[in-house]
Amino acid sequence: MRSRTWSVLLAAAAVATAAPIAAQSALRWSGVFPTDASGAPPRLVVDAPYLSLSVSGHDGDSIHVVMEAVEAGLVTLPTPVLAGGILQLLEPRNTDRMRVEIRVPRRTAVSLRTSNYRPVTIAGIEGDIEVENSNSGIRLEGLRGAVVAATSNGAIDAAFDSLPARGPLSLLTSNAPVTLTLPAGAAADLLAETDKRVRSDFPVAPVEGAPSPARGRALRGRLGGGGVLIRVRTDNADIVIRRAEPSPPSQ
Amino acid sequence: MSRSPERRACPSPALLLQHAYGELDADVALLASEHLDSCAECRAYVDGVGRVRAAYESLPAPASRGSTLDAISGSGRGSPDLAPPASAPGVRARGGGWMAAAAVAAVAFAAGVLTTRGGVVDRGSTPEPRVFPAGPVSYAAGSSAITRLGVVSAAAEHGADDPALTELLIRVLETDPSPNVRLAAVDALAERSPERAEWARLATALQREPSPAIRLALIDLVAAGPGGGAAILRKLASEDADESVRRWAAQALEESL
Repeated sequence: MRSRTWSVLLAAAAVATAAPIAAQSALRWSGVFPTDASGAPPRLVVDAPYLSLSVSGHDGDSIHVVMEAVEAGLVTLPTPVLAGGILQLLEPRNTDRMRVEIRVPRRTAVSLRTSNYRPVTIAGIEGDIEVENSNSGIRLEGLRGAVVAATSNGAIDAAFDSLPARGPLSLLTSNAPVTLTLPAGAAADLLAETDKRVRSDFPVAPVEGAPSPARGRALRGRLGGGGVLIRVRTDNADIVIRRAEPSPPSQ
Repeated sequence: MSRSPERRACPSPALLLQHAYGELDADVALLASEHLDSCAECRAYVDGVGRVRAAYESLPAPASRGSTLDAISGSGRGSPDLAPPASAPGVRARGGGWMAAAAVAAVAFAAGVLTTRGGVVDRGSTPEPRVFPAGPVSYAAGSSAITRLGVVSAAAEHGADDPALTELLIRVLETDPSPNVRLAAVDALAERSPERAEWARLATALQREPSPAIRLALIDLVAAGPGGGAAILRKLASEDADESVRRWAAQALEESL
């Protein structure tokens, strides 16, 4: 496997000067970064290629980071360095063999960018999310904020607990399907286009005067009277808009 | 801004966009200002519009657009997202441009500096694909893709005949690092009537666009222009790396004949 220089930026704006409580072994590093619960929502920025990456929300006020070698051969793990409000990880080795799991306060705004053959999973986040991947999928679960997600050659599977009062929601990929699961009472303006099929569990009321696509398949219209704009686009694959199953009643 | 019942008094994004650009009549502008004094959500939106506007206005003209990233990467190639139309089909190889992009982003972010959003290399008749700086740059500038997408969506509602907004949308298409934002720009441009000279820029953008799904949208746009973009469609129909794009271009070409 080729060696490459890489860099990781983990930026939590509200964590500017906090030192982590950290532990490291040869194949695992973990750290906890406190955030200011009364301040602005923290921001997390991850920018690195070839990561297997998952981010999930939790009810606490700190950010937990776990990095783990998942294959033999990775001798050392990068050590985070705080500088100017940015937690930087610099390591002149492969990241191909590393998995990163991050737990953040639910209100955190998240921006992730990675690439190539590793999936990204984000779950239980109420803040806004920007995520970009390539050659692999993006899985989004239990979201409540604005989402801008793009990849290529990988599926996007996004499920919202509720739609944000203001958008945007934008899901874009190529050569792979998009599955969007919305709550039963979702109210939105939908613009979904592909050269294959678009299927929806929801009735979509057409918008008068909206242009028809020159070719391909498009579903444009209002769900539940209209609301936040949802834009979905792929090619060479289907788009599926699903209605979320109702939650089982609590005992 | 919000569509919830308790926030019905908020102006539309389009009106706030006009306010941010100083285009409202005085009496309406006064009402908007009064609303902004009491609505943090709309104020944040207008502030975001202002930052995006300033960022876009600071961009050099497309023909001479700065290439900070190119200067470092040395080639203008290499991002794993890039798909030159003439490249071989299939999954793209891993590229080294990501490292350069991340390095630029790291430097820019650490220094608190906003670098150029685009790195177009103009090398004669065959446009090179773009290399975009990495995400943290936009975050460092306080201008997230979410904010920029909101601006573009609002611009789409602003009036089809405003040449300044058409120019903004084309520049977004040419320069924005987020494919989602560029797609929104294409959708907005589809409802406008660009001038003849602008079609050439759209055709160039089509050849440079890394995302196949956006290339599909751009094909429809270019095919509707003067001359139907026949030469470009013919090239895409035979050489594009993406099978859907080749088929789409061939269909558009056939329909234009």
